[in-house]
Amino acid sequence: MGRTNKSAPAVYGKLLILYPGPYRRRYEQPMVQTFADMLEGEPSRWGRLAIWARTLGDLPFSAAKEHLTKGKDLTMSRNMKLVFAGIIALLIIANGLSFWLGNMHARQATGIEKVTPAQLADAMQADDFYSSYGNAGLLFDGTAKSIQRKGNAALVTFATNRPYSVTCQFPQAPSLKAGDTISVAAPGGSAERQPHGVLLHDCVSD
Amino acid sequence: MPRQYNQLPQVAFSILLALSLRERHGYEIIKQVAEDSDGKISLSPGALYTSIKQLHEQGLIREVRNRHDTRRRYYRLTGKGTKALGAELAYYENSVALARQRRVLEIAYGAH
Repeated sequence: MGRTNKSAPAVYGKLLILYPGPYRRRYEQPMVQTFADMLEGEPSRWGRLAIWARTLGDLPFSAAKEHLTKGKDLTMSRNMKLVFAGIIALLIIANGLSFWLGNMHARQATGIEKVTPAQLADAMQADDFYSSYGNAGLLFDGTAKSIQRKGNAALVTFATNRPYSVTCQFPQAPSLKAGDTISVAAPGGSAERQPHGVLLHDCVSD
Repeated sequence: MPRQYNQLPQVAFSILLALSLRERHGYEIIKQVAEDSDGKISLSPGALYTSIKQLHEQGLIREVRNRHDTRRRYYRLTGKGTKALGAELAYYENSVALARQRRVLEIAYGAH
């Protein structure tokens, strides 16, 4: 098992801060354990990335659903309310009103899209990123153009050969240098428009 | 008032079906649901535990400790859960019987 897989459940555990406090206290440990079991049970690299993509793609939806079912959760901090508001704004852009009207309880895992950095850059430039990828887990191979490290995290910009760039925010910095090519999984719904590019949050690499 | 059929969302139904043979922990449920659905339903931990929470609140499943595996939480159908699953299966059984009677399956999939 690679280095990322050893730390992967811990990274996933940190992302569970998106859920309401009471839910997190009750289900964080079994969710992280289940995620670790899923990665452990998947022998292939692409399979593990697909698990990451599916899990990250679902995270905003299931977290938002728990907040909605709690409604007025008084345990939410001001920062968490801002994070939650951001998630809801992304969901509105990504899914429109269908999210609110759909039967989220029966919702299955979101789709996984294998893409290239150039496709992501083009989609953001053409203003159809969210309609194309906002509801998907993204998988792509990217060649690192530049890397900014900050503690354990890193911002990696990938070469696109396009006017728009693709940058990934890794909570757990991958081991790489400029010019290296890595496989990346990221939730499409976390994408943020930049002046000349797209910033993907919560990226992971195997 | 008699219980209405087909009240369970698909994921909840699949989880109850996965727990019908024995108690299971999260990853075992995910694998069983995938197997039962021919891979059509791939649950993430988020989707799984959202449904588990609701099923637990409805009293259809309960959490149990497994003394051979203290790291994981196991889930088991309650009596109410077994009844709900039975009612749901009866609904589907009736629907399939009606579809056969009306030859809907032959139209949908072609005669064999």
